Amino acid sequence: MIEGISVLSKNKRIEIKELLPENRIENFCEVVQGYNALEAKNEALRCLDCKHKPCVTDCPVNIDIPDFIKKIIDDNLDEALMIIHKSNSFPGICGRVCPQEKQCQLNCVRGLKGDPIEIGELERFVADNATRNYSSVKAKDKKVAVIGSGPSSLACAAQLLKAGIDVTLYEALHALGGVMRYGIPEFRLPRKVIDKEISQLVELGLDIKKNIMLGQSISLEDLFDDGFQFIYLGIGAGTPRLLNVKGENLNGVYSANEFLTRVNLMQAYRGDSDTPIYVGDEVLVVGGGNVALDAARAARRLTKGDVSILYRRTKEEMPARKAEIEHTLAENINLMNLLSPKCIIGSEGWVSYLACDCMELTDEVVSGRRKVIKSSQNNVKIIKADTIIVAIGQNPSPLIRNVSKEIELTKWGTIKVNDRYETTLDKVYAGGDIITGASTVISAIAAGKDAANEIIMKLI
Amino acid sequence: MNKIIEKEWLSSNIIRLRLESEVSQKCKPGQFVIIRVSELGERIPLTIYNFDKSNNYIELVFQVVGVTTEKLSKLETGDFVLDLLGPLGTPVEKISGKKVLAIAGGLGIAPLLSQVKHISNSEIDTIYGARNRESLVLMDKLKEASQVIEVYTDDGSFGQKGRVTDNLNNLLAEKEYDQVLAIGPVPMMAAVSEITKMFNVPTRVSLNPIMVDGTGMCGGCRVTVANVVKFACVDGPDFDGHLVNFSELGTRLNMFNDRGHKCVIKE
Repeated sequence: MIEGISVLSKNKRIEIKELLPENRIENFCEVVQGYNALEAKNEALRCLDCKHKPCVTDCPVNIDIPDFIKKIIDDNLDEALMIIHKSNSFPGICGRVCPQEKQCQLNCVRGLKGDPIEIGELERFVADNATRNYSSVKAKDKKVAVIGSGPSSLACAAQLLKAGIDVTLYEALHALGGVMRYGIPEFRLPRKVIDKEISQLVELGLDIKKNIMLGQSISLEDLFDDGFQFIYLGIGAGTPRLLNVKGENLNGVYSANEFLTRVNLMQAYRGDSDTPIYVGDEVLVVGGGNVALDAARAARRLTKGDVSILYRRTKEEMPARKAEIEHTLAENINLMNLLSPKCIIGSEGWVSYLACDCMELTDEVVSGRRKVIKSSQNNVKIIKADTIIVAIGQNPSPLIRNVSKEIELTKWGTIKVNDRYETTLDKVYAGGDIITGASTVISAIAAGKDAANEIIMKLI
Repeated sequence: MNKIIEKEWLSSNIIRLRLESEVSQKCKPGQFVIIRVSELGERIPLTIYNFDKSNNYIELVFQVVGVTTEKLSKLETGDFVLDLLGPLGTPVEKISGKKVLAIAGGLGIAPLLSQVKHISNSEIDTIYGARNRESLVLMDKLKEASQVIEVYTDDGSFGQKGRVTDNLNNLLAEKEYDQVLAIGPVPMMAAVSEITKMFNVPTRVSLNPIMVDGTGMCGGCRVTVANVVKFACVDGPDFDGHLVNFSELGTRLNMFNDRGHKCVIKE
């Protein structure tokens, strides 16, 4: 029999166990350890089961959060998982990487007077501990090809499979998961969590083809000739944005994509991996988003030297997930504010300094964040560095042009879709980062799922 | 998929592999594949030396120089290459010039031949240089496809002792070439391009920077061409030799040799 907590302490969240910073920077083990059964139940008991359910409205895929929380209290985790799965097939992933503080936990009524319910942790707890058998009723002769294996493609595939539609998924790389595999490190999202949630789709009959790149290895015509009735492009925004400053091609300067691909996809941090990686003693990571934090934290684990994040604005404006900002700062990583790279100075082919313009915040707010300008004194700061990792965003791949000339693009290079996720080419849909530019895992999942529903309406 | 159906040692450390692969169906001259040979193995790019659409195979020629080519060299006929992605890169434009001079240095002979074979209606002269007699490979194929006018070895064990650029000035002055193709080590392509620039002969080179994904995702292969940053994996690997920043490319190729694989932690 599990004891509930007293009413008095219900405004405080149940603490989540984490590896200590001094221990975790020695390895790539998952930092957040998650709740045990008693802790999860006690956290679940804090839910007020309020009338307005702001958590459900604020969730991009509208998971019936109070309902699954009730099942945790009832010790019925399998049913809790079933409730989540109605809206989201990837709770293990989303519980770990969603920016809950901007979504489901933002307007939590418990949060008005205390800590909001740790919805992400509860979602993760269910995903990690529940079991479920998967089955679906086969629809006859319905075939859809899904391109890419990132969150939006997987969500699209999941939704189609649940409707009994045959799905074949094509991935260009040798491993599945898209940005979750090459971008997000093991210590934040263990590979086994990605593998588990993908294996559920395989149980539902997902056919996977790796090492095949649309536009290079196969064409849209090939797929239609093979009998696919619809095609979903969930190909993400995978091309790194660079600083475009002098010295960027010096040795020791990586795009975050390259650095993280080496570390995550190629597992260069392991002694038995063949892929090389170099991390020096003075590492500068440029950027303020989740990718910058992931790169800095990975670098932290690979050097005893200094690791700093260099950001144009200040901590308050950082777009990264709040918990990760805290994790990062606890790991002996410096945050250098209000600096914008001007040029990279090198010697003998290697980076040695980064010169930055000093910036200042203005009161003007542009797309939700305060605008920065060069400081009025025109100050320049020179910072010593032997490794620079550029994490200032990703653009869609220009290779989309090889897929089809008939798919219209926007001026940002993203694919143009209507409100039903249809591209300008008949029977071809698109969603996720390829239509929005780099965004969150959950918004990609929401798009994949919605696009799948549009396809299902056409097919069945 | 990716089954090795033929293996030939062209020298003591250069191998030709024929692989069953759907890549042959889409392949065009100048393209490459990315392969991975083992779990926890690297992804490396290799130029497609030859392809046959009707028999569904591609051929790769490689030299055993690193950990991955070492592993690849251990595979035998009947074995499979774990991962193979392609064709990647921008296919080369068809050469239309009447007189073409093609120059190969070392293993550059394989990608060079793969392009020379597809040139039609042109008179093709070739120059080929390698370390020594043993490392001159595919000579018969080169003779089939072109007029071999000069052969060099570093030690003089075959042909003339010296480098492919030794007589280049005279050749360019004497014969009116419309196009030069140069594929080989970076210093060789740089030296050729410098000379051909003086004679204003368009020169195409094929670059081999470090790559990881090969699909434009990592930017590890970035090269400066006409002062603009290009990704060799999607914009190349072939570029106008007169516009490539070779010294930067040479330095970048040594990034992991200089400061190696020093960051490894325990699991």
